[in-house]
Amino acid sequence: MSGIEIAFGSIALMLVLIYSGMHVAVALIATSFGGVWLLRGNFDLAADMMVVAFKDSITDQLFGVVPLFVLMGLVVSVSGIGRDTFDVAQQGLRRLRGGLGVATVAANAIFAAITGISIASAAVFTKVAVPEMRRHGYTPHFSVGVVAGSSVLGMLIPPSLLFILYGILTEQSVGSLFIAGVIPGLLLATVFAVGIVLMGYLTPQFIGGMQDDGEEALSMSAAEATGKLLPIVVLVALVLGGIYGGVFTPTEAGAVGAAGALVLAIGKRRLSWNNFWQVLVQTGHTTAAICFLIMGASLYSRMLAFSGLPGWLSNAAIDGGYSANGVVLAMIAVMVILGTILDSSSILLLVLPIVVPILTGLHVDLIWLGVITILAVEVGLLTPPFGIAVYVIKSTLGPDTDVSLGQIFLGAAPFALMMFLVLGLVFLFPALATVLL
Amino acid sequence: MRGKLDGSDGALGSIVAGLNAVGSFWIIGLMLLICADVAMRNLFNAPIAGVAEMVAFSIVGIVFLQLAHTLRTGSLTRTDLLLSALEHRAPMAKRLLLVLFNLVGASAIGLTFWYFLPSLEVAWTKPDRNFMGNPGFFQIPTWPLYALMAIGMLATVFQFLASARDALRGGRA
Repeated sequence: MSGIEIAFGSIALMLVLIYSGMHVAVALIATSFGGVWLLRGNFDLAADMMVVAFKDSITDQLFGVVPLFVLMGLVVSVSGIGRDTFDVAQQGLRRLRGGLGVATVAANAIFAAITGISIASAAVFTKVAVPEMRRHGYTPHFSVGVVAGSSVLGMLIPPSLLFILYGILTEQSVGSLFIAGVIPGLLLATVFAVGIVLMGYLTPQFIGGMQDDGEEALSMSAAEATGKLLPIVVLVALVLGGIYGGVFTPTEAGAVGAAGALVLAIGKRRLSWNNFWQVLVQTGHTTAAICFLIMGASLYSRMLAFSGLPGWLSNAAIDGGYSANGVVLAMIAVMVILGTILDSSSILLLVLPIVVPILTGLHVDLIWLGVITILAVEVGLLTPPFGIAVYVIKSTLGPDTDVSLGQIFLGAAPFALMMFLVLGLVFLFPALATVLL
Repeated sequence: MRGKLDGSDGALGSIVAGLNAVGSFWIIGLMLLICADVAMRNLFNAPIAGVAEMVAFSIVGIVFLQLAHTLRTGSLTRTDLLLSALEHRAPMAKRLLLVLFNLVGASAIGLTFWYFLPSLEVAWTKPDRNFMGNPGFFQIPTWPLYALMAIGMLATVFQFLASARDALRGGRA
């Protein structure tokens, strides 16, 4: 058996196991272990590689910010800042068809400026927006689909954990990457909003009952709305101002933001000890789940590297046409395909080391490529079987929910399509990413 | 995915919850450490030495302390597409699948633990050669971290076994 065949065999087995319900990280670890064992015919070597994946793959300052970005997002969620933002957006948009959906997108866009990971946005708005939308008669799949789709904004609008990872892998300025993400992020939010309104008119049965949106007069004065928005504005100013004022690095923003969110939450008297403990435990669980996945994915990348599959794919991409655009398109295709089985960080870890040297030789702007990469990778958050955003929503809904994973994937599908549209726009008009630099 | 509370599982449950609590407090410590570094650097022009190493050390410690509890509470990423379909049609098949998956998890982590032990031993016997950071500037020995990783892996192996047992008995796992 050739290395390529073993790699494809492992991928196939891994898919079967993940579909059947094995823990994803365990499936990655077990099939990669088996793959390396087959490839090298050496049990000890395979086991030692497993140990290396456990020891080294997350031992970096970079991963230290994972729990802090999660903590910031969750504290903001229990402090009710996410709900306040959603309330104000809901108030402003309630007359619109699909207004609650648009409000979710708008609140997510603002929320994205104080959180750097999509799963935090997904968790917060699953709690805040989904019950409200369902109460207003929206279909379950649309309610969770909007949350899954708009959670992607968290990674595109700075600060963003994925941009930090990309910057480290490609030696680009994280600050520049953050700036490059602003316009595409806002564009994506706009496309989502327009798309929701269009769905409201074209496929009303898909999104459900919007007719009673305007009935409840949530009379909110301008002063009240300002009061509700003020904390989030302060947090955004603290996090982004600190980064661009040179007070702290983008990676440190997670810690400062989490501390700021804690102070705000305590100041608003919205954080009981019990809540705080729940938040800490949940932060730990999310961190452990992500980092365990990263360990598994790192072993998996090593197995693939052993098999020669990345080189084989890279050759296939180059044979398809030597132009820079051809390679970028091939990279997007590979990332989207990988996105159906791997998480975002693993895809970056797997694909970038192959693609970036080729593209640097072809004089591609690596900041622009960063935005393209994040968009392509984030489509994977919404695609089965391994859309992380979808799993986060599922686990946030809790074990007693009537919403199935299949429904979440169905609801997220239109948003994945709209992401492809924005990806195409950024690809055709690179200025969208680079004009602010 | 909570296990049935008989004697042995009660003990395992307390240990796993205890590890989780330590990890949770550690997150707060990590946040305060980075904030202190930012403050010291900007206010007093005196950055704290070795923050990068301490952060890298912390994240690994936190993850391994939390892993068993994450598994126990069902927060470890998995899909339930097939499992929930089997729930009504073939509950026995579902239970057997869960037993199998948990045993695979136990074997994978158990094997890693076994091959990891020599690293722990070397880190313990030769702390002068096993550290994080730069000599003369800032150093943390790796053995406490490796010890935590070993404890975390062992707890996770036992949690996988407990989950497999619960699945076999027909409990929720």
